[in-house]
Amino acid sequence: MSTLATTHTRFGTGIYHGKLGMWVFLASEIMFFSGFFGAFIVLRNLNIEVFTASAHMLDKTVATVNTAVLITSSLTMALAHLALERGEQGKFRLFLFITILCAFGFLGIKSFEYATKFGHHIYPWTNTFFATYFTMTGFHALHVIGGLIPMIWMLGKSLVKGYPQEMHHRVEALGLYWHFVDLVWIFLFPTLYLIF
Amino acid sequence: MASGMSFQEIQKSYFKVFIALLILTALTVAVTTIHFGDVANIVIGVVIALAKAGLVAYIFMHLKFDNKRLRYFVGIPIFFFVTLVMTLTVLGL
Repeated sequence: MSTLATTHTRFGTGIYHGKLGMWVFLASEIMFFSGFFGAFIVLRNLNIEVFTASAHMLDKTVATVNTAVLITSSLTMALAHLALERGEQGKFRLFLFITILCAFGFLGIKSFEYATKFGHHIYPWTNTFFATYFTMTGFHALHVIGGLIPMIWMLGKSLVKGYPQEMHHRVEALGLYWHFVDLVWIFLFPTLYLIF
Repeated sequence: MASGMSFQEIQKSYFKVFIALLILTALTVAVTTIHFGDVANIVIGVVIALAKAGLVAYIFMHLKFDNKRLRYFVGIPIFFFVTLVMTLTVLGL
């Protein structure tokens, strides 16, 4: 009894469990992508000519447009959460819908880029640059798809019976994930397309 | 939102960050057309990316508004990431 009474457990970080859980997950995601960036730097230093020549084959314009698309989706995701927090169902639906459109837009543009590369007979096994390029952008695209699934589910739910205002924390947690996906692209973009 | 900011102020800060992110994206593309030297161009690219990441994490991801302890928590993997990238880059020079 006395040990129980003297054990001082501290709660009250002021952060609800869903958000803290999402941040723990995102912390592990940072380490996940760190491995790719580490591999990219080591391989680049060993094959600088191959990397420079290959990176110049990428389409900067398309990637810049895709960056803008993803940044826009981050804004609308943040606005969607803000709208639901205020109980504005219509705005919430609209902003979530735009976010989903942007996510599909990003995937569409990325598919176009991949198709162009395949059309030029460039594959992940072409050289070490394209091996890392397809691995990094591929895993990033998988993360985009992973974000789309709960977004579509939330939009569907809000259209059927309205998304409960008191559950806006779930939208915030999903938003954290979505902004992280945007963050990864913010680093991938200069690394793969710009620094060569 | 325990930030003491009104919804309008928060909404305004979201739009400001959005504009800043677009400007920084245009900037990071624009500087690639100028050759400052191989290392300098990489440093500029990384610095702009870090600035963009900071804006997203601070405003969009609410680190500015949340309990400060969360920042230390998030800082640990970021510290490892930055250390890894810098070490490997310096070793390769």
